[in-house]
Amino acid sequence: MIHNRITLFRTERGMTRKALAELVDVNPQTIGFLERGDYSPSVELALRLARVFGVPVDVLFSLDPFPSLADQIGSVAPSRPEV
Amino acid sequence: MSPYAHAARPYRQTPRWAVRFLSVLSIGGFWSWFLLKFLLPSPSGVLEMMVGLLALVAFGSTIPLMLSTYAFRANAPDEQIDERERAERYRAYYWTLLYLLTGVLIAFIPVDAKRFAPLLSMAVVSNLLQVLFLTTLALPTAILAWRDRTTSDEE
Repeated sequence: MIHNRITLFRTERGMTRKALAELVDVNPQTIGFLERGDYSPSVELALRLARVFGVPVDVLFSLDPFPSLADQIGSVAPSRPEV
Repeated sequence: MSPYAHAARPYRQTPRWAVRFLSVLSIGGFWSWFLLKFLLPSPSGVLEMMVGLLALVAFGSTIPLMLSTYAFRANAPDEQIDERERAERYRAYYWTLLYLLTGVLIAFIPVDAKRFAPLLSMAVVSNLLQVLFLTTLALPTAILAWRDRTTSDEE
């Protein structure tokens, strides 16, 4: 299974699935399938998606699960003193 | 995918529940017609007429089924659909081929095995092949509809 961060990058840019689908020349349902992990993209589609977001393809896709964003933010945020 | 592929698509997607329902009526209807006709004692009567109506219902539901967007995806040129839809279509046709080969093999067993001749006449084999032909036309569309996992917000 290929893990991806398409939803994260898409929502950060305020993009709908339809808008992203038009940029990479697929149907909007396919974006949904990709985001849920129900479909693994071809190399060409993965590269097109990475180009749209302006990131390397291995930032967008991975064979291993991506670490939780909440955990990553929590680990770098300065700890607040307890009241 | 062709830049015009989006424009070529039907404006409104056929509801998945409708295509699934039609596929049950069509494929289930044809097979029910075959099995009931096989079991009927005589070719005439009220019961036989009702079985004949079942075949008409199956035919009648096959037509809208073949006009649905799922049928479009099953039969469209490669340029009109994207890679995911092509992969789903190849999978649907693979399973349809397995179904057809299995059915044809079963249909030809009585032709060669004389011990089955009293039970399975050539008329029965002919009906079986007709049902196989008609259901094979509808099966790829049905498989695409039943395997579709599109969520409601994507439709």
